Amino acid sequence: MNSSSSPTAVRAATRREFLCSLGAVGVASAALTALPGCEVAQLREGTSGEFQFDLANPTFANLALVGGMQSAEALGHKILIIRVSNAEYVALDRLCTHVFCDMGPDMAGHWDKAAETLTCVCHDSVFAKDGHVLAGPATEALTSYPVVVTNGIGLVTL
Amino acid sequence: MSRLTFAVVALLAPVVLTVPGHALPRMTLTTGAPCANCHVDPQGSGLRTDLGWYAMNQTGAWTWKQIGWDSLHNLEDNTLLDGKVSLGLDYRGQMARLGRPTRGTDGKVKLPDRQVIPMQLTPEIAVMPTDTVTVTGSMNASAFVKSYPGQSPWQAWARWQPSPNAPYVRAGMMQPSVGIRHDDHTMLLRSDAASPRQPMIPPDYADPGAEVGWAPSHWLLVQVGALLARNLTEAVPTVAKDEPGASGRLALFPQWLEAGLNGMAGASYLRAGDLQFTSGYVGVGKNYWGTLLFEASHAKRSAKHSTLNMMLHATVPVKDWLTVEARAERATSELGSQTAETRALVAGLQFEPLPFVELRPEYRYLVTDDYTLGQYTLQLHLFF
Ligand code: FES
Repeated sequence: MNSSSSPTAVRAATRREFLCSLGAVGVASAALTALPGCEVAQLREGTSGEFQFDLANPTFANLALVGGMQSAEALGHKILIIRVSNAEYVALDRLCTHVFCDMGPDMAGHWDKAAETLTCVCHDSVFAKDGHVLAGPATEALTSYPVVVTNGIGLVTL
Repeated sequence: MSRLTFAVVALLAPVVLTVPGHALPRMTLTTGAPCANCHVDPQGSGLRTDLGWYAMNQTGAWTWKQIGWDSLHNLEDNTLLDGKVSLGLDYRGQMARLGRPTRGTDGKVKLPDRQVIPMQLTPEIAVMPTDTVTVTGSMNASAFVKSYPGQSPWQAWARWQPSPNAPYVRAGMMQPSVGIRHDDHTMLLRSDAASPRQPMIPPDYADPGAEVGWAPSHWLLVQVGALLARNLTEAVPTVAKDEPGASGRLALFPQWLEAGLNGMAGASYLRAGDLQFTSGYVGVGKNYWGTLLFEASHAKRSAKHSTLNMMLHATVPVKDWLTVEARAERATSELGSQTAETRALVAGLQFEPLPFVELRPEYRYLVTDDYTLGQYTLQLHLFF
């Protein structure tokens, strides 16, 4: 890396080169972070409207029992419908607000029927049935959508 | 190795521990050497053998001596007590935008904040009381920070192999041999596009188990194992706790010496409860030219839920200490009538300024059903 014959000079020169290169890496890293034009962020969000589900449809068979929960894609929203009691249903955003684990049945969501809480097993955040955070690491509430069920037909307002 | 030097290496690594160091298939594809030549774990990953340590000690744009750290430069190996004890350490951290874009109060879509994230600090040890027995263990911060559900805070297993060409038996807290155990845990191969932060086989996953493996020649390795699902239950909740499972893996390392080509191909299968995880890969490489690897995995999580993930990964060495790499990935998930898809393009460098120091600047472009995120990231890997 250099042509000096003195070992001390070799060491000094290479150390200088090394420190320069580390500086170059630092400058390059800073330059990278200063290139926001090359960084991209786009969102595909759900739309508002109404989503209807039929409890007689086998897809929603999980909701036949109190404590059951079912995932659904509704107008671009990923939601979780939970049967809290015989007559009460709730619909919440299904992606945990911590780092977005899917809290659908058989995924990261665990509904405690007695406590009426939804736990995300990814990192143990706990949400109330209205979506607010009972225990972190999540800090943001889940969006909750009104649900009305009449004669076996559910209507979620998104 | 002097105590002072080991302490210096240990002190270089910051605090939080989560994911252990994994393998680089490009090493096998450029050298033709199976993972077990350089790693104590026959699947690759983590603690390096003396050969693996020596190879990395020779790799760097500069030497430790050139920057005045003669004591590090003068290390001869990573062993103590006449080679009966090997020590290792992996630290990994990254600077990246974690999470997903959000809409600000002004209505504009914002990039997530850039954060510096310590990902791993794993001290590792292997003890070889006799020529035929190896006992190894590693510890990581999952004990304190649960990064991915199903991670194990520690791994420890013992292996008995009566002679180098004989079958081996290993048992303990270990990761079953499945597919390739990549060193980059942002890869989608073991994840579910519906919930990428909950991979089915998370980095650093381990469960109680046992495995018999046999490499009757240098180009063939067969592994058959059994496990008891404990941590797997957290990663895949449909697998009941303490459900027994089984795994099998066939790995081929063909070489075409006249053409200077090395290959790797393999297939594996893991079953526990309803989960069936199948993976296959094929790759080819030539020293000083580069490597190309294709890997796919399919998981049947339940009667209604399956995933299919694929990755094409290329590396081109510019110098011993500088490699250009790129990969394209696609992960899909089907759950009843719902589907999810994530695609990723990643391009970057693997730069080793000094032996045992690696920097990886990358550009990652991720497209999911919900968002698109393109960002620069930087990873630092310190190891020993
Ligand atoms: S993703 Fe739900 S608690 Fe972390």
